Formats: sequence, C-alpha cells, structure tokens
Amino acid sequence: MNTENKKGFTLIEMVVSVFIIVVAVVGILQVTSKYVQQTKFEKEAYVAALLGQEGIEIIKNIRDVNWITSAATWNTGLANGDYEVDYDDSGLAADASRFLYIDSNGFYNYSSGTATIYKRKITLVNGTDKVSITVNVYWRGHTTTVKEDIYDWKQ
Amino acid sequence: MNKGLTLIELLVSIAIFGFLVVGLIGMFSSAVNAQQSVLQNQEILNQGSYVTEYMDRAIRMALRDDGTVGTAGDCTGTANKNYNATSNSITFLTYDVASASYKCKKFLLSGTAIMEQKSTDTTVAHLGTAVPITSSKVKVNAFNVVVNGDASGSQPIVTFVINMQSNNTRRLDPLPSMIFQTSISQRNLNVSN
Repeated sequence: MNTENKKGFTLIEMVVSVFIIVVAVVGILQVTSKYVQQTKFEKEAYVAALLGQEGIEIIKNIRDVNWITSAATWNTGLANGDYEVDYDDSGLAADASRFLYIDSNGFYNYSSGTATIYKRKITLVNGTDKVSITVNVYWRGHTTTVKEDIYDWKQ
Repeated sequence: MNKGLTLIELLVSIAIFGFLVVGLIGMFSSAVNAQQSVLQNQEILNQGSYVTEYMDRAIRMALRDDGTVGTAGDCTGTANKNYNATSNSITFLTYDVASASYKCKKFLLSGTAIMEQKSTDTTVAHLGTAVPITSSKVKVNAFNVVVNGDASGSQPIVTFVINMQSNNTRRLDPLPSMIFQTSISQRNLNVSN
C-alpha cells in the first residue's frame, strides 16, 4: 500500500481554498452593501428632485401672480441673486445656506421642526424677457440641479 | 498508524466547523435582510413617484370654479375658488382626458391609502366611489395639503407632503419610509376675475 497517497490535504491547499472562499463571500457582501447604499441614494435623490421642482414652481407662481396683479411688472421680486424660499412664502429671501426643516405636519420649511439633510439654493439670472432659474439641492455631499427658463410670453 | 482521530482532534475540528457555519449563516441572513430592505425601499420609491406624478398632473390642470363650466362653486364649495383643501384632502375642477371636459375631482387620505374620487360632472355631489391610487404594499402615514394664494387677483400654489412607509409583513427595523414634498402652481391663469 502506498502511504504517500493517503495523507489528505496539505496545509497550503487548505489555506488557498479558505482564501478563495473568503474572497468570494466578502465580494458578495460588498455588492449587497453597495446595493443598499444605492437604494438609499435613489430615495434621497427623488426627494431632492421634488424639492428642486418645488423651487421652480414657486418662482413661476411669483411670475403668474405678477401678471394677474396688473400693477406689477412680470419679473417684480425676481432680481438676480441667490435665494431661499418656503413653500408658503409669497416672496424670496436671501440665501443663507440653511438646512430645511420638517415641521409637525411634515412640510419642508425654514422656520420650525427638525433639521433635514437638504439645503436648497435658488439662483436667478435675468435676460431679455427671460429669467433663468437654477435650483440646487444639496444633501450629504451630493447636488441635484434643476434648471428652467421662464419667459414674459403674455406681453 | 491507522488509529484514526483522537477525541481532541474531533472536538477541535467540530468547533472550527461550527464557527465557520455560524459565521456564514450570519452573513447570509444579513444579506437576505439587506435585499429585503432594498425591495421595500424600491416599492416606496415606485409608489411614491407614481402617486406624485398622477396628482401633479391633475392639480396642474385645475380650473377656477367661477362658472366657466358648470355653476360657480359647485365643485370647491365656494365660488371663484380653485381648490377646496382640508388638511388631508383636496377637491377641484380639472381636465378629464377621457371625456375631454372639466370634471370635479377629489384626492384624499382614507385609512392608510391615498384615494381618488371622480365626479360624473362638475359638482362635488356626484363624486363617485373612492378608489385607492396607492398599493396596499405601502401605507401612507400622512398626506397633508396646503393651498396658498387661492384668492381673487392671485394665482394659487398647492403644496403637498406624503409620509409613506413600507407595509410589508416581513418586519425590518426600522421599516423603510420616505417623506417627500412638492409644490405645483396651476397652469391656467386666473385672468378672468
């Protein structure tokens, strides 16, 4: 009987096989954790996009109110600059780089509630019969930018 | 030479094997939980974006209830109002694509779902059955609506916020949830006052 063939695995073989298994398992875990982070990012990005859309709509609403109030010119209150605005404000305030809060009814605002991860900056640039709106929403080192040009088409 | 394993060798090898198996099961179970959390979060995102876009479109196309169609105030309850909003519902006249005419419509929070009621005409009295527009896979903890500037000589802007949470029976701690808000200004200008 040849005893050389009955000795089983060598230490080297064991170390190599354990190493391969560990690499495979760690790889799978890393993919899973990346997947979880990505989903969290998507959710936050969606909330940021809606906050950006809200910024555009508020500026558009100010223009519409100016049209209806025949006394005002169409871009009253929409001078060049960086601004912050609450959903229930009728005018803009200078940007103070503050975090938005969530109040007791769940609304994102600047005055009351608990701080969120989001900051919103609205930048206005006036052109000929045009105001270019850029809304930047900043959160956790990411930025969502929404842009829109509004015009004085109702002259 | 052929005496086999000693008791010590057997115990040590069982212990090592046990540690490996426990570790692997732990990793597997955390991976399954992570996967579950991803699925539930995606469900919230899908349901949330659907219901937001759906309501956005209807609210954007609202018409002032001034008698242009039907009788003034027959949908919102007050003549010349664009929207009749309570803290968790909103009623307004909006363009109905299927019938190519303006109909009264209501969105409301009922239980843990956002529901829609469509009227057969421009009156609030003929609102039909409430149909849920969010799935039972998610529960809506809060749906708040605020309308600003809904007055003569102004253009209204509607803000709503939805707090949505997973309704999955498989418990995750904490249950995935999302609070999202947006504002919509009406496209039809209130020019004829």
